[in-house]
Amino acid sequence: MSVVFLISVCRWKRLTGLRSRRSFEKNDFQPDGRRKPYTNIWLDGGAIGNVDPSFTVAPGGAGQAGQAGWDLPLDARIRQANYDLQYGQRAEKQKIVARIKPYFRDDENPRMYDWIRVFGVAISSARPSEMCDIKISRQSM
Amino acid sequence: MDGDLSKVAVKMIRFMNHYARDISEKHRIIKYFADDQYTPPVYRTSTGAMQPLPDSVQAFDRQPALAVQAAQQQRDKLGTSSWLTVMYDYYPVGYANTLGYAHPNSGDTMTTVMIGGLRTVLNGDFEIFAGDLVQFYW
Repeated sequence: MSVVFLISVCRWKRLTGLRSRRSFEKNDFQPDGRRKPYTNIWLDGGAIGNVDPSFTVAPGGAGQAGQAGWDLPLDARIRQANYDLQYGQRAEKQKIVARIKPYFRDDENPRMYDWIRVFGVAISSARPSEMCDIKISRQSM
Repeated sequence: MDGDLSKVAVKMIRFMNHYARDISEKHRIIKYFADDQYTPPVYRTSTGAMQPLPDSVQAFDRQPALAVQAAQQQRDKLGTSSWLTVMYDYYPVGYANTLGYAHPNSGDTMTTVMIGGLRTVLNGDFEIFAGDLVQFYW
């Protein structure tokens, strides 16, 4: 009985653990899909501040700032682990596949590479890591 | 995309996607990658002052230069310039319907890509609602 329980715990940890994360751009967005607030890195003389995109400046100043990561809810992690099984990837190796997310327009700080990656419209709603109907229409948005 | 070396390429993609707001900023970031000189993490506040940040929030790690180069330049590297030749300006248009790979004899790729129509695909890490514009992300 205890052996079965131990196996179940190990499988549960594997399903819900960090190993199934594949999108390296996730933490650059807020959990609702919007980009994290823009940080002005353009300095004098053409220099660029070497600042991580997931970094957010806290209102109190840089002393309170940090790289706030976030995690998916448990049900989404289970679904993601289930769909990851089809890739047959080796353990501890990442196979990065482009996935879809809603596009949010930001007029004050437009992100060029988000806009040129828009390629369709969602025709159904979906939770994270759930199948979603989309209409692909890059030629006639 | 699974080795220590390719982490620099991943960071380049993230950096460009987040900070390029127009074509001119894109070219400035490309020049920054080509110059390949380490800079400390600094940002400009709303009042125009420059604010230093701890090393833990830097986008690119410090890559120590070779001894000869360090003597000449006195600066560390980002490790980005060697990746510039393989960083493509990509425009995703749809989903591949068939397997595509470079033919071993000619290098030609034959595949079918769906660029218009209805399709059911796997959503990413964000909740999506009917009517939302949909973009790819990595």
